Amino acid sequence: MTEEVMLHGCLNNIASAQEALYGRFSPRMLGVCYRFARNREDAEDMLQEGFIKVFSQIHQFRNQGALEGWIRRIVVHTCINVLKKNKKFADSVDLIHANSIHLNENNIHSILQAKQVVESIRLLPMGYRTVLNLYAIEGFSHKEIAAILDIEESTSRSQYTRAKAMLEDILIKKKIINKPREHMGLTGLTK
Amino acid sequence: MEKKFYTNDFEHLLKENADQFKMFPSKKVWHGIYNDIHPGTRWPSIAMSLLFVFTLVLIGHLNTQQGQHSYLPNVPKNVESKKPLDKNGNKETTAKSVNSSIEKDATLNAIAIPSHSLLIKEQLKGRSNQVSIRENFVEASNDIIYSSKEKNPDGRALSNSERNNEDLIVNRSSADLQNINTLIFDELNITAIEYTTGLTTDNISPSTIFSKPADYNYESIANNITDISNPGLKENKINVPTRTKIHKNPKITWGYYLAPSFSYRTYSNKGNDADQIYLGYINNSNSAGVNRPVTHRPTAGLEVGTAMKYSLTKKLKFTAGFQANYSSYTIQANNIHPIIATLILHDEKTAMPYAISAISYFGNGPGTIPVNLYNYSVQLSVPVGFEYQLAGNDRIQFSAAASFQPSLVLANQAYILSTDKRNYLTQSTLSRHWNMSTNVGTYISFASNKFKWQIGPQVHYQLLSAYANKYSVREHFIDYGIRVGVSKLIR
Repeated sequence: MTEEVMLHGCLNNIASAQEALYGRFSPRMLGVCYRFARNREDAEDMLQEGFIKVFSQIHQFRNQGALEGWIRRIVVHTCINVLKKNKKFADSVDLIHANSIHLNENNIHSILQAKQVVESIRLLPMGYRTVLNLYAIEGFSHKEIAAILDIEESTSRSQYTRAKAMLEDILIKKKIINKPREHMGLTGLTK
Repeated sequence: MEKKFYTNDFEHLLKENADQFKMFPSKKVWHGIYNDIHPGTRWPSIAMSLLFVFTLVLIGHLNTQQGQHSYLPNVPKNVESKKPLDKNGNKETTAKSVNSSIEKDATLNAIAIPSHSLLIKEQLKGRSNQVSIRENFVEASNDIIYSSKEKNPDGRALSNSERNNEDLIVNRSSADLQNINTLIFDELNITAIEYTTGLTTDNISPSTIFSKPADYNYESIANNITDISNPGLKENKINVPTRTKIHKNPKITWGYYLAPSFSYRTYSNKGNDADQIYLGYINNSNSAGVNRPVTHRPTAGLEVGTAMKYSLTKKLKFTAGFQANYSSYTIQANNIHPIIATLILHDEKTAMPYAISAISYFGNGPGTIPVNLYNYSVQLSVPVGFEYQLAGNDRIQFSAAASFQPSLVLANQAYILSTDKRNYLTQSTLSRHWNMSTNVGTYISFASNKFKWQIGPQVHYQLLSAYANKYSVREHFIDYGIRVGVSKLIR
C-alpha cells in the first residue's frame, strides 16, 4: 500500500489503511519513544497515545514534507507531554542518578551499534536524556527546547553539555567511539 | 577545530544510529489504538468473557433447579402392589397407582379391611384417643388396636408376634377430633399406598407429605365402611390424592475451597548457552545450566476459589469457576553497587538476538550483604475441568479432578537473571500478562445433610513460562498443596 493510499484510507477512517500506516511507522516510532521512556512499557504507552493523536489529527496533514516526519513530531511531543505529566525531570534525582552510574566493562557487550547507542542514551538521567534527544537527534533548537520543557535556554544548553559529556564517556567505555586525541598546546604539553 | 569536528561527528553518530534503531510493539498497542478510534467495535474484553462464563453457569443452574411437584408419591417405579389373596391363598402382584380405588374382591375375606375403618368406627363411637405417629409411622405399644392385616391367609386372627413388623401399628390415646381426622387421613394414605402398591411403611420417605384435601369428607368414608367381620364387603373406593415433592438427585453443586501450598518453580534455559557464546563469554563456569548458579528456596503459596459442579453422569462432573492463586519463591542474592547488567533477548518475529542493558542492584548468590528477593505472581483464573468419582457411596467418596485454568496475572514481581548469571534485575516488560495452568488432584469427600466436605492433595502447574518467549530462561510456577473445600447441594 503506498503512502497516498494509506493516507486516503486514514482520512476515511478505514481500519485496514490505519493498520497499514501503523505497521509501517510504528517500529521506528517506538524506537523514538524508547529513547525518552523509562522502560519499554512506558514507551509503548507513549506510542499508543501518539498514534491515537496521529489518527485523530490526520486531516491536518497538508502534504508539506514527509508523512514520517509529521508523525515523528507528534510522537515526540506526546513523549514530552507524558514525561511532563509524570514529572520525570527532577534535576536533583538526575544528579544522584548520574553520580551512581558505574559501568562494569566486563558486562558490556552488544551486537548492534544502533542498539548500543540507544541503550547508552537511556542510561543518562531523564532530564539530560530528554534534552539530548531533542537537540542532537530530533533537531530542536535550545530555544524551542526551552519552550517545550518550560525551562531556561541556558539550562537547556548546560544540560546538553553535561549530557553529551556523560554519553561520550559511556560510549568510550563501550568502545563504540574512540577517545578523542588530546589537544596539544603551543608548548607541546597536553591540556 | 579538531574538537569541533569531533563534536559534529559525535552528534552525527547519535542521529544516525538513533534513526536506524527500531523496535516492534506488542499487539496490545494496536488493540488499544483500534479500540480508541473505533469505539463501536471493541475487542472482546475480560468483562465479556467473564459475563459469558457467568451466563453459562446461570443457565445450567436454572435448567436444573428443581421445584417440580407431582401428585404421585415418591415411590420406586418397580414396586409391585400386592393383590389380595386368591381363593387358594396365593398372592398375586400387580402394579397400581395410589389414585386407584381400593378394589374389593369377594375373596378378600382373608385380608382385613384397612385399619382406618376400625379407628374411624372407634372414633364414631365416641372414644377419644390420642394418636401419635412417629417418623416411621410405627409406635410399639401394648395397646395395639389394629394392624393392616388382622388375619392370616387361613383366616385365623394374627397374634401380636405374628404381625409383620412392617405393619402399621398405632397407639391411641386422647386427642381432639381434628388431630384424629388428620391422622385418619394420613392413615388412609398410608394404608391405601400400602394396600395398593405393596409398600411397607418403611418404604415411605419421612419427607413425604400428606395433606388433607379441603373437601375431604371423613364421615362419608366412615358411613361407607362396613363391618370388618362381614365377608361380603362392598367396594371401598378411596381417592386419596397426595401431594409430595419429588427430590431429584441434585445436578448442580456450588462450593468454595482453599488450598495452602508449597510453592516453587521449574527453571530452565533455552539457548542460554548460545547467548553466552554470542556475548563472547568463554568462562566455563558461566556456561553451566541456569539452575546451578542460583540459590532459590520455595515459600508458601495459596489458592482460593469457588466452583460450580454439574453432574454429567452419576460419576462424572463438569466443573467451572473462579480462582485466585498466589505463587512465589525466594531468591538468595546480595546487595551490590549498581552496575550495568545485560540481557540477551530474541526478537519474537525474526528470532534475532539483541541486548538490553539495565542497572542492577543485586548480585547472584550470597555475598557480604545478603538479601532475600521474592519472585511472586498473583493470578486470577477460570478453572474448567472434570471430576470423576473413583469409589465410594452416597456418604463418602474418593474422586479425582483435573482442570485447565486460563489465568490473568494481576500482580507479579520478577527478578530476572542476567545473561552472565551474575546479577538480578527487574524487567516488568518481560513478564507475561496471560498464562495457562493445569491442576490435578484427588480428594475424599464427606456428605452431610446439606453440605459436602472435601480434602485432598493437589498439584498446580503453570504451563507457560512466566516470561515472554523472547527471554531464553523458562520459569514455571508449581504448587503442591492440600485442598479443603465445602460445597452445597443445590436442590
